[in-house]
Amino acid sequence: MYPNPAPVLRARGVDVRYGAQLAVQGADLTLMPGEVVAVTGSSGSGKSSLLHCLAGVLAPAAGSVSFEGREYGALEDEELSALRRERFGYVFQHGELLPELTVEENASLPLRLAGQRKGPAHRAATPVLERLGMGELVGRRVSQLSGGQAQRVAVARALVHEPAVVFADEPTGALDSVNAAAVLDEFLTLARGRGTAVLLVTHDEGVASHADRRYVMCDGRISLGRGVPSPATGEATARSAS
Amino acid sequence: MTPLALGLRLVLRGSRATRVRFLLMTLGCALGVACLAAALSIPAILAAHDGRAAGREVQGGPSSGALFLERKDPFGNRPLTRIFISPPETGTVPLPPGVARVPRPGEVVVSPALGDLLAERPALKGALPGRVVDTIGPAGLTGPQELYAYVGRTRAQLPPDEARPLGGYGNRWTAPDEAAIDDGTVAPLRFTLCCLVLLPLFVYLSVCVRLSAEARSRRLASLRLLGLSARDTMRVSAVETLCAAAVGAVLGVGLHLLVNAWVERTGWVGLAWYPADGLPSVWTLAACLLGCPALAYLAGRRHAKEAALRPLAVRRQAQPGKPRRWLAALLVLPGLGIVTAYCVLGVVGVHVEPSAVTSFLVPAGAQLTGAGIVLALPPVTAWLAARVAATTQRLPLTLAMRHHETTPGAALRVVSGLVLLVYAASLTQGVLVELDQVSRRTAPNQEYEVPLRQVTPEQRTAMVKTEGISGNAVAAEVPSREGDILFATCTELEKLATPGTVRGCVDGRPLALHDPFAHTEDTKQPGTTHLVKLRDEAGQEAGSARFTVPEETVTFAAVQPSALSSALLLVPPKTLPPGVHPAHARLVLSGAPEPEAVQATLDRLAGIAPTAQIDPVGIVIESLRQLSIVKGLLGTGMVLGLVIGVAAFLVSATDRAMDGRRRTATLTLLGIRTRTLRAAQCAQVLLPLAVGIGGALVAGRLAESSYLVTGGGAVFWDGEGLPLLLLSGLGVLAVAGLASLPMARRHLDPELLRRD
Ligand SMILES: Nc1ncnc2c1ncn2[C@@H]1O[C@H](COP(=O)(O)OP(=O)(O)OP(=O)(O)O)[C@@H](O)[C@H]1O
Ligand SMILES: [Mg+2]
Repeated sequence: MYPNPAPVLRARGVDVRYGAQLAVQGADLTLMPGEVVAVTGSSGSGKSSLLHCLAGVLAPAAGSVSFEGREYGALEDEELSALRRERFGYVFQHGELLPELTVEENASLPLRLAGQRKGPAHRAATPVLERLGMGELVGRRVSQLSGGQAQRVAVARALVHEPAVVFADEPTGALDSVNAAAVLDEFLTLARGRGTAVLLVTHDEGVASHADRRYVMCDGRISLGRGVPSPATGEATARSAS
Repeated sequence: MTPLALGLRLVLRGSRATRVRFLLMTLGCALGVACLAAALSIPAILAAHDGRAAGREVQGGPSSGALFLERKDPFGNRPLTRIFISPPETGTVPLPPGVARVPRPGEVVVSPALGDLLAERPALKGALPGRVVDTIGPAGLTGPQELYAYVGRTRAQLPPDEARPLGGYGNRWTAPDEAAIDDGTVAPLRFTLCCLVLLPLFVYLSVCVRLSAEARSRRLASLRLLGLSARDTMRVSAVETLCAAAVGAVLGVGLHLLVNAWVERTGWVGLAWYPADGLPSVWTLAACLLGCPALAYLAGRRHAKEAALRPLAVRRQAQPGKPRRWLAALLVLPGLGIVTAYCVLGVVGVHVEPSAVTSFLVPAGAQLTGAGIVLALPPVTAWLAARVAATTQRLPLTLAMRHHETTPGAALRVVSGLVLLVYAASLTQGVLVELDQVSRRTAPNQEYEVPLRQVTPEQRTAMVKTEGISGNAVAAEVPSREGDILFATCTELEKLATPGTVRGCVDGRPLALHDPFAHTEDTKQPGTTHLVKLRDEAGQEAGSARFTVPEETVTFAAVQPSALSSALLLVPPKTLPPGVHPAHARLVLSGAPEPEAVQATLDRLAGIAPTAQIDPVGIVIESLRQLSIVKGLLGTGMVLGLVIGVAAFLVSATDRAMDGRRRTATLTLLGIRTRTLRAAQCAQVLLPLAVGIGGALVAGRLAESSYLVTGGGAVFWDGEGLPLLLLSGLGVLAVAGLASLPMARRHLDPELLRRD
């Protein structure tokens, strides 16, 4: 099913610290191309911290993270920025859209940042927005949208440049269950259709059930599958699963 | 919990950012209040100066039997006043203000500054014969730097034809040449200073009370959503600004008092005053200590209105309501109308006399235009930004323009201080041009006259050779007092006369002088003989010389005004035996006409001969001093305005960058390039600033010209300052653009992505 069996993202023995507190401890994780992986766990278990680390936002206190075999630690700030710009997409809980831009401008922002002109960028964003049911609202300001609509724009922005990985932190956390299910469904369908891998962080079992594979976090430790903590075996199991 | 307690708690227990903001607000208010107190104290300082000047004026009258003689000479560029008093044999002499005892013959009472000067230059003793017995107290002086003396003389020592009976001291009005600044200048000066200092100050204060506007609004909106009433939400917001303004006001008044005390020792732009003169009046204190906090309270309440009335929208970071266009239009249209109307009158050539109407309309028009420009900035730039954002292909521009479009008010706070400054600078230019027209000398050189018997031959040689003196001659008065005989060579005459006007000059023999622009008199008739008494270097009489007006004539044009206007005869200096010179003669020197050069030359000449009476022909030393005070005040105003404008810009630009950190974090997450971020930041600052400065330059130009048209001067359109203004406008733009760059840094704080 996957042309390239090498993992697109790999974390090994990652620690995340906030001062003295160890929020993530020795996390191993792999993400194969096109795969949807969920990380679940209770509040405060360290999910967001791990995601930020994998997305290159936070530097790990120990261990390493690599994308397509390139370790973050060895990259210049400019290279890491380019990676985030061209190969990653993001959907966060509060959307993290720019409220003053229009729907269309927000959705096409990654293409513009990559250097595309306005016209082609907007034309590329239109079908994605239409798929998400936002075709009517392209000219609206994001500040004039409902929560569900804004989250759809965030999804469109995360996928428009066909990134290798989308990082999603509680992508539907701010929505009611009906809306949440709809948005998540559209999000994952689009991502799968484009062969984009998704790392989905959530505390919601219902959301996690959409994933191909699941990790569970508990007090900063990560384990594969349902509830059984076995931190050291993460990588081997992942490989056998794919 | 009452709103007051809640507000205080938010200030005291707030995060570091809250405390930094509180500190900035407090310091900002302190600086502002200090400037305000200073500006409000100026009239009192001037009034005190003028009041004491009037109070010590010597009045003639027969009441006491004493005689007096008043001498006012320039010492460098400062006037030195000496009152010679000769007491009667019996009876008492009225006591001048600030003096404990009238000096008896052989005694001198001096002002402290003159006392210091005497210690520094003993040569000055010659001008103040006698023993210094006392100093004049503040009641008898206009300021601590004044040079003033009462000199006791015997009746025989006073020249009988000049001394007058002494009646008393004090006049109800200040003599125009004694006033700190003459009446005609006070009104435009006050107006310009207001524009220069108070307008940017107002902007600055409003910047200070609205720091971290977005973050604070969101916090207030949360409180409102938690169930605080709209009124209480506004009060909570107002408590913070009130506290900052109250503390700042006290600090500011303290700062003013400090500067005030410091000025007595150092003087300020040629105007030094006693600390008591600059003490803030009750009204000033009320304006500073009550007015500013009250304004801050209102501003704080207004600031929270949006959060109180539309908390949901604020929490969701929706755009604020549309800026009010009608208010800007209401101010700008009549303002520009008045100003343009006068300009049109000027262009058409209609002569507008200065009158009560113009002196009200022109300042009103200028103020309305200035305020209107600032208020018109948000709607105009927001409209422009929307147009640019819709059409541009550049991402940085799109980002900047969209951001500006939704927060034109914040952009306004960033730039309006600088815009107003440019506007005010343009107006100041007008005032300076007009002052210059009044005082500007069109003559190609400036002459100085020194009575020849007051200088030794060495001093005379030194004066002729001193830096800045280009020409010299000796003018001897003929006994009939109808004109002068000029002892000079042809080269010297050429240096003294208007360049290129000397015709028919031959060295070596006496020639008749003819100035076609001066009145011709009989004494120039050929054949008239003039007798000139001579003296040797020791001052002893040395016979006389006789000169007859010959047929041969030199024509020349004297500069206006000139010591040469009354010259009848040009005589070669070699005609007189060596070591002998005319008894009643003046040394005429000439130098460059620029005011700075004149002052420097006066200083140098006074250094050579401290007691000589050096008369800069056509210049009243008092008006020179007044002019330098006025220019100094305006310059200080410009500097204060610049400091305030730049402070307002930096504070609000930093604050805006802080407010936008979340936005920057999002863009950094998406991998924006640093240069894109910088370009966006730059564009965001430059668009409103460029529009504002452009508008300010045009409107300022119009206002300046309308001021000149109605000022009674001859020049309406002064192009001289324009390149400088344009350059400074561009400079402001460049500096602001550069200053905005360091604030645009990529930073990715996960906190900003995670928390609301
Ligand atoms: N900036 C920080 N400074 C100190 N501790 C932090 C910081 N951010 C997170 N933590 C701590 O790290 C731990 C993990 O936090 P994290 O946000 O990763 O949890 P989470 O699993 O995402 O929780 P949730 O489901 O509520 O979002 C928590 O105990 C939290 O208190
Ligand atoms: Mg989380």
